[in-house]
Amino acid sequence: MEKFVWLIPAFPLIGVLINLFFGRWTGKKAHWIACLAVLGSFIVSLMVFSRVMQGETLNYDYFNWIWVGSFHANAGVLIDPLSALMLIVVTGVSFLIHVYSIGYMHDDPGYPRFFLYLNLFVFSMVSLVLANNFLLLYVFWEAVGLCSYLLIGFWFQKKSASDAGKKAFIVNRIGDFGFGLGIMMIFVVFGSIQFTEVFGMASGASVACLTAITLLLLLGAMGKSAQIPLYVWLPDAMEGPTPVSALIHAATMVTAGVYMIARCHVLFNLAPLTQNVIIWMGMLTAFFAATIALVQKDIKRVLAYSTISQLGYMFVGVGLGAYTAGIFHLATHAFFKALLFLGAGSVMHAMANETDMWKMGGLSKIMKYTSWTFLIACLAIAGIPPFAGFFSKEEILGAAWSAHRYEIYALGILTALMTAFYMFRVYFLTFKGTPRYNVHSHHAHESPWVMTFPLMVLAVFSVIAGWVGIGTHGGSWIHQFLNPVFTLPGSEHMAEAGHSGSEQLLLMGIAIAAALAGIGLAWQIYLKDIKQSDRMAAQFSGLHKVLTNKYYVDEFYDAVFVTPIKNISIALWRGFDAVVIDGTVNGIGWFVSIIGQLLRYFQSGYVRTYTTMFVIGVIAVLGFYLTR
Amino acid sequence: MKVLMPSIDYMAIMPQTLLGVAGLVILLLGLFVPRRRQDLLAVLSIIFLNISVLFLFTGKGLLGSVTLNQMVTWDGFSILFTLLFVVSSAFTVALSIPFVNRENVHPGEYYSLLIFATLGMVLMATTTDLLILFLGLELMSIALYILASITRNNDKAAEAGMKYLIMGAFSSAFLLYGIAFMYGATGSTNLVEIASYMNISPMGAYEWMLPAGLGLVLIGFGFKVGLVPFHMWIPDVYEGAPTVVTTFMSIGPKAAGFAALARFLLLGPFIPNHEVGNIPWPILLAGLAGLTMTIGNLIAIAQTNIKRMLAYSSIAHAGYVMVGLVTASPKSVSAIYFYMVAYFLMNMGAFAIVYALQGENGRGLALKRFMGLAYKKPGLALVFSVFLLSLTGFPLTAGFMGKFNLFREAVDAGLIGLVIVAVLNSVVSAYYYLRVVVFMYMHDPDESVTVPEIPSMVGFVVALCLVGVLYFGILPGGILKVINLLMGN
Repeated sequence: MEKFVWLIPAFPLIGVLINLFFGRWTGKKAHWIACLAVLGSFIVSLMVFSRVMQGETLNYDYFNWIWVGSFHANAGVLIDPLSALMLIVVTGVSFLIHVYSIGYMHDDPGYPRFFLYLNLFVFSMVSLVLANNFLLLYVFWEAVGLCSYLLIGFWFQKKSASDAGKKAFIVNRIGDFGFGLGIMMIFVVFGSIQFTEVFGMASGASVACLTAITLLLLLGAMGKSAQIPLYVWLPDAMEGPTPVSALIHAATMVTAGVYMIARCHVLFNLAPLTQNVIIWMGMLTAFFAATIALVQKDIKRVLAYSTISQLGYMFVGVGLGAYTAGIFHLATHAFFKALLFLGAGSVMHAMANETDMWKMGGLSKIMKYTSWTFLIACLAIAGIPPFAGFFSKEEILGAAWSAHRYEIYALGILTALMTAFYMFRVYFLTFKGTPRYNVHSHHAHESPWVMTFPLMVLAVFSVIAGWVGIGTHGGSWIHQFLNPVFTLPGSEHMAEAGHSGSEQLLLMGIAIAAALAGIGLAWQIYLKDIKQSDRMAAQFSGLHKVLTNKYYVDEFYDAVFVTPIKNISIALWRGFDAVVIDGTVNGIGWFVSIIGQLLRYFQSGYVRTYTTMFVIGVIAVLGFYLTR
Repeated sequence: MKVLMPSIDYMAIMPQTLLGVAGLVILLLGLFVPRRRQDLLAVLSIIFLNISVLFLFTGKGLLGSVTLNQMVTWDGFSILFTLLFVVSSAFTVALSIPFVNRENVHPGEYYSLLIFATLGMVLMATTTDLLILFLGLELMSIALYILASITRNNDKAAEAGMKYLIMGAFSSAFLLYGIAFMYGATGSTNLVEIASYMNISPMGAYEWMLPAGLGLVLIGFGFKVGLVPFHMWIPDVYEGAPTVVTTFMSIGPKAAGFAALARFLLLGPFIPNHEVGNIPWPILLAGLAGLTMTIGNLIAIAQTNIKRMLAYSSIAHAGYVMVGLVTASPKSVSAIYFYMVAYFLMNMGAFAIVYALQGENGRGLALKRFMGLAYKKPGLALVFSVFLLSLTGFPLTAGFMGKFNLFREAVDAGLIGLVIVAVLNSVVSAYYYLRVVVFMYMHDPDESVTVPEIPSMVGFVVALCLVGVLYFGILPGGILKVINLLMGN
């Protein structure tokens, strides 16, 4: 397998290089290179996947990267069911979004640059997934962060976009700081950064040690996957072009945290405290993000909070030790969330970049493909069988139930209800009812086929992707497939599975009921009598205001962290930096250059001076020891 | 009377023999090849150099063979350094083509001298015998004296050659005197035998003789690699000699000096007992290292001529390399070798660009001629910046990995103080390297300065150096593994 695995990152990298050096010539044809590159990666990923299905795995070092002392880092790949599944999802969704971007970005002056960044992202993301050691993981973890920054601020002329890019970057720094420390600690404790070696030795380390390591790693995951308290960058990231939101800030990059925890499940399994932290962090994030999503007016913001919320579910899954459930939800979410974003993008395309849902309505008549596929995605995320989201969410909630974490289960169901509500709120406001925009000035139109085709493919997967989870007691295909990764030798039973058939049916019933309740409520408020929403808002004006303002978290961070740090920095700059540091530096510089000038005098150009110096040196060297 | 021929493994001296023959052949052909076909000689030189490299890898391999009465030793150390010398010489030959054509230098003489100098370096690195080492050193030096003043009508070049000759002869006397003392103390000129003799009788025959010999040999090598205070010749010679010769001198001969010094410190009397004659040698070596890099960097700051600045920078780099020699061990010699490779690439690249831009009479060497170069030749300015950053020791360049390896070995050996000095020196060096970058990018271009076209051969060499600098900076794992393997750790 090592003969062709390297092609997966190589294709998009070649795409990057071509568009980087020949972007001037590729110009409006840049998409050909970019799309073909990702398609190539996807095809190779399928080959890898089929090999993995036959039970093959691979842990192969292509070359030594850094060998210094006891520190060995190789450039190597780890192929197992987990990475194979991730590769399929990442390259598949990426390809569709690349195709979609052809239509979405076709008028943009930065056309080749956009595809260059997208390819760079795909390269980094697949490399992240393929990495077989922590350093490589970290490098590409940072690389995807860089791509995210570049793409959020793609329209850097807009101040809000460049600010959002900076915010994403800085907030992620906090997480990555912890992540980096965690990796250093892993090297200090285990003396290795190879996944297989570290995981093999994991049981030998103390619980305190593992807890510290896993908490630090978790900090990285918090930043990248936008969990409380580091989620604040993701809603702002919607300033980027919509395909970027779909690809990076919904389907792939933000799930890297979940992937990383699943990859390091050996460590996390041994640190119960961290697992508990993950469960609560995930659940609270899921819950609070959902409440914020209830009232947002901007279609992309709703989707952003929904992404944060769904990521919370995934964290609950992996926190519970139900790694398969977490990864399963990651995969299904990638399809339906990408679909939602692309659908939203299609709407924006039709509405001249309008994102306020209160200025839409009734679009289903004009945009048939978009509205149907969007509806499928809404059903999937709301958790209506047989759509994909139902199965994966059910797995996570079932795991909470069978782990006797009923408080988590209850919050999860409540969040599911809210999810169904806000998603159908979006659907009804956008596509149903009567148009609230000026029908004569806006020429709303269905998007071209390059945009609707990816929607349809994603819609198909939003339906069928969940079916791999059908089956009882971990007997489903996804469990069969992923279990070799997550089952430790010696401990056969997992947290998931283990409830009886009737219990399972009951849980399903509750989940479906919650979803239907949410949809019904949305229908009542936003379709049947749209004025009702204003009345509700007025009735709960206090709560509504808090939610609209996102619990004032941004303002809180500004007041508690940003402003004081800024003030201290300004004080340090004016008082300390400008006077003390600059003074010292300039002083040293002045001093050094004076010495340099003085020493130059000895360089007289006369050989007699040189020999004199030489002899002085000889006397010094010989004198050094002859006098000892 | 029957003459007994000593048994000689001719295959094992093939690389040296071939270089010697090559020098003679080129010299002879120089008489017959017409002027307009003189590039042929350069091509032939490169071919000869490459064939001698091939001999390093032929047959059962040279590894482990000792021949000619223990005067030639092929171990991993010899092979690696020979490779470096020959490759850097081949690069220099390629760079020289435009120079030879423009300055009307006699090609036969010029190329054969380059090859003889290379042979001298190879002899220095492939022997454990102090006399052969001296022979190689003189062969190399004499060739260099001539090369430095090869454009003898140029006053500066003539002055450079003359100064180099006087100072070189002066220092050789010390070296030879030191070797004589060591022979007197131990009865041998072979480092292996000296070492085994000292294991039995650590102080040698006379108590003062061995330390005195060691000190004088150290001074002799110190001159060749340009340690302060034996460095005074470097700025004048480097500035006065034709730039392409300076390029050559700053790389191969310097590496040869370090190879000899490393061999001397590793094999000879210092290891394992560093306290020969109750003298803390590491302190002396550390002092020389610290002094060398500090003085080199400080004076480099004050330079306005880029060639002279690079001369001082090469002194500073010799100081960094000395850090690895303070407690010479096979591992630190690996680090030194890696550094020399990195230095070869980045210095060759930087000098090649200076060489291409210098124009008539070296007017293009003033720092202010580089103002705004980035607007006139963006690609060239970028590449030059990469070399300068590498010389500073920026991450992702070979210069960084080289310094990192050297300093890490030193930290492992407990030389924290010296490493701090070295790192501070790197900071100082950033000033004058980055100043060139600032001149290129942040000053308005001087329209009266015309930038000459870059000859294709120079461009080719620069490209190879660039690839090397980036490759070894980003992916040093492979070469480090090979070096460690051959050095035997």
